Amino acid sequence: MACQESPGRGFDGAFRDLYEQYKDRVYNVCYRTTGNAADALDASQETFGILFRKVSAFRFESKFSSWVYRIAVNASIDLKRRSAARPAASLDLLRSPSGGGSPIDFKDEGIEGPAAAAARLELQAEIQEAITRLSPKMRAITVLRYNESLSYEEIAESLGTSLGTVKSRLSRAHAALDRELTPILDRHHLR
Amino acid sequence: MNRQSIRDAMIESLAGVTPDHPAQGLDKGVDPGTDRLDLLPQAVREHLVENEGLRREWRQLLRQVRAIRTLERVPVPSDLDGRVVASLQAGYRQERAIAHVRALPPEPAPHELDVRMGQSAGRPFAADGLDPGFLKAPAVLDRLVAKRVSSGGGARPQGSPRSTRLMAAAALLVASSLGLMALLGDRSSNLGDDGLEMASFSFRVIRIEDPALAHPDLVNLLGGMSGGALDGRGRVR
Repeated sequence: MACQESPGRGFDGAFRDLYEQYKDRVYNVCYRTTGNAADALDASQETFGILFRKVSAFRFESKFSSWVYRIAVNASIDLKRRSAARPAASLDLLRSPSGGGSPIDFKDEGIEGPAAAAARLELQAEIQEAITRLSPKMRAITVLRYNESLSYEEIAESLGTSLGTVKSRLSRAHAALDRELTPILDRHHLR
Repeated sequence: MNRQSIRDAMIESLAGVTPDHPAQGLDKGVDPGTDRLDLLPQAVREHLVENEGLRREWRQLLRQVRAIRTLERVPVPSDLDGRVVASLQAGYRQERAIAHVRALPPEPAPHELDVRMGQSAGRPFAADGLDPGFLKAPAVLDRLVAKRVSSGGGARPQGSPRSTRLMAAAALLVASSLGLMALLGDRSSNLGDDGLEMASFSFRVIRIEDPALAHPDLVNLLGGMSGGALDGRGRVR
């Protein structure tokens, strides 16, 4: 990881490489944690701002990617907390007006028609909303585990918790997801 | 294994779940398309084969994770590049500005400041080489303190309370350059444009150079104002 250089040298070289390497992961974590694109953009910008300001202080006591995830998660949660008073961009725009009801086959990778695409988008929006309704800690752990595919150890490093906390929090997150997701999946006839 | 440890093991095994993962070698009596028992450790799998409740819980967990994993990765908006660059450049500008300020040589205070401070303090304290910000107590204060201490009253000043002494000082100030504003004549009144009565008075300003020559009532007034510091003839006691 060759990014230990003075911030005064501008957005080139190692910083550019670091940004290119992590921007997809950072943005996706921010997007799934905040639940909308505008907040995700703000949180991602904040993440890279912090990252570049503090990168010289990184002591390699944990994986660098875990540190990046931690900053992204904290930036997203902080931003979400700050913007709690104002209404978030609605995901209803992605829904079909009918309310859905047609079965969706995850395994169907054939050519997708407009109706199927709309239904898929609607389902994804509802799943995202269900995740967004979780508490910040449960949301973060769900996103890191199932969207970013981190191991328990990486999650523990990213969230600054113990392995035991990761297990118990993930278990509680699944209990909450059961409440939030089951009605949606039932409505969409998903097994 | 207790139920919680089985649940923990099931959750840990969900890492391999994908929305369209192909079915692999499975135990009989389970749905190969949905149950994915192959993901579980052997010990946990045996519990699930025997226990419908655990199998149902496993299916629920699978269902949740399959649903979450249908969420596709979102493309990074091109705005992010520009915003990150802009915020970094703003950060660089701030750092440069701070560095410039820190690199500035110390600026000596102008002599004009000494003059102004001296004027406000009533004496040119910078002329004797003292720090302009340091006001030296006048020598008379040392003498007064020494006198008070050497007198029988001890170190603690005796006498009137501070409020009374301040009142006396105020009265002396009035007496030394006395101006008295007297209200004279009758009140006259007339009606304003809005029909309300408007009062008017006549005033006269009297200046008395020597309190001893003042009217006795005025001297008594001063005596009262000074808390007795002035006697009946307007002299300081």
